[in-house]
Amino acid sequence: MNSHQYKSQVLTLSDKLFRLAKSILRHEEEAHDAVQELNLKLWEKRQSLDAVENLQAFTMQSMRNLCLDLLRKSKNIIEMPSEIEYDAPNPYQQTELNDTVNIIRVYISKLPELQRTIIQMRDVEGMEISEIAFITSLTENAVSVNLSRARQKVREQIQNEHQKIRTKIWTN
Amino acid sequence: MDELNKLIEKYFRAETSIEEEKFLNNYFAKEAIDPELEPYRALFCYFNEEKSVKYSKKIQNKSETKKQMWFQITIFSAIAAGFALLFTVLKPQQPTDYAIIKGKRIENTAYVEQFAENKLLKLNTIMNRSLKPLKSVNEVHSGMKQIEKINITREKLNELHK
Repeated sequence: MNSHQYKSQVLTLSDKLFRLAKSILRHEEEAHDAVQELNLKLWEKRQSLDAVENLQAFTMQSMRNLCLDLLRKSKNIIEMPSEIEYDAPNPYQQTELNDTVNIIRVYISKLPELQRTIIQMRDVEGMEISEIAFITSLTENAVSVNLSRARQKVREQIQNEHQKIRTKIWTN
Repeated sequence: MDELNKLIEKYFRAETSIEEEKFLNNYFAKEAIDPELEPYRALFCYFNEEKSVKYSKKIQNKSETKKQMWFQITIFSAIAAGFALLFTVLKPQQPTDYAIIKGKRIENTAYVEQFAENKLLKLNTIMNRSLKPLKSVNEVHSGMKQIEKINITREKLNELHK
């Protein structure tokens, strides 16, 4: 792969890679650095990239692996167990959440890394289940199960929040 | 309506196709939707907002980094060469006066003068200290003169007595 091909095939994926890194690391600056680091690694191996069948899936997989390595190195894995109960946002958080989209952002950021990554790849990037299965090294069925769990958790949170708002309106 | 509800249920079970999900996305982007489905609007809004997030920094590959490094080296070398040339052209005239201090050739006259003055001051202090014992000898000497006067007086008295 020459420099021109690299630019048109790999660098065009930067936005997707950045969004995935941001979703896993939950830190914008670190996500920027991760994209830069992955780009350097891929540039060095650009000769062997011609043999890669699905370049998008391959780079997304590399990005995820790099982010997981970074999390392990920084000992920053404060992952939630997959069946965690959600706490309602405290009053301070509530004032921070000035709109419902931000509330959704918080719900998704509290999902376990795998579910967060899967929901990001499917609902934001619009990727096929088979591609996500390749990136996460899971079976397609496992991807679907995790995706369903992630969506259901977010749904429960939305419904609880909606219920609270309705109760508040009625009591006032 | 029932179809839409079924589709929503299918979505949360992760059984929808990408096309069906696109349909839901478009539905929730509309202004007027079924009030019962209103709570889910934020979820699809969030996905749409996330899709627009861009990588804002400039990506540099190694060849660009190397090019940049060589460019910087060239610039710094040019600046250094310029300074070297400037100092060569504006080199001050070789001074003719010098002194040897502690085996080193010193051409800085101000430094040499200061050094000499300090040495002279030191010498003066030493001389003053060395002359102090002589002062006490002088005092003893003047004391002895008084004794000599007594002796003379005594001799004169003896002569008168005789």
